[in-house]
Amino acid sequence: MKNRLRVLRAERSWSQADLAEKLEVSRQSVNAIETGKYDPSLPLAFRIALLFAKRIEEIFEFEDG
Amino acid sequence: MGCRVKSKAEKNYERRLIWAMLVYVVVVIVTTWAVRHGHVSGWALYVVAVIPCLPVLRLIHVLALYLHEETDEFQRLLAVRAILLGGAAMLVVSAFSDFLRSFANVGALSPFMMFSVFWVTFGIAQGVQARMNRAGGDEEPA
Repeated sequence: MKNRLRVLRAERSWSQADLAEKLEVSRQSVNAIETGKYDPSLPLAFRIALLFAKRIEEIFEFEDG
Repeated sequence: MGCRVKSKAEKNYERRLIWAMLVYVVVVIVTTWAVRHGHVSGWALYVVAVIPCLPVLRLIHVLALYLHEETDEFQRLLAVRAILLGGAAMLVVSAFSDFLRSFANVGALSPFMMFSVFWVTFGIAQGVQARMNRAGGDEEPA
């Protein structure tokens, strides 16, 4: 799954640590999501979408295979 | 786990783990000493053999509590992977030891070997994963 987390974060001049704090997860987790090593659960994806005031599909893009 | 900020669940886990490990070591030393010095015999040996299992159960409970309390799902996933790897290593060594004993009449491994195999593999797995998932140098805004 591709995502625009890094871009959205950059638009707000947030560091990974800033975003991690807002989402109440570790910076390691933010990094893993940004780099595509880890796909967040639906509740976390909703929290991310809520934080950026966007729909989930505006942040995450499903890639088949 | 590097120098990253630890969650409350991680701090609780580390504190509980240290205490449970200390209790385990003390129990093992005391029960081993009691048996080796002939203070225990007969059916009481079965009871004494069960006693060190109680702190082992507590260690598993500590892991379960961590998985329950950790709110960061990615950290939970890393912990589950490490537990699985520890369990896999323990099963493989245990099976190898049993087959070796069955096929070649080789003596059993030390009774503390399986315990060590699990925790050493668990620790290595956690270290490797922490290194693999280290959050690079991206501390500044992207």
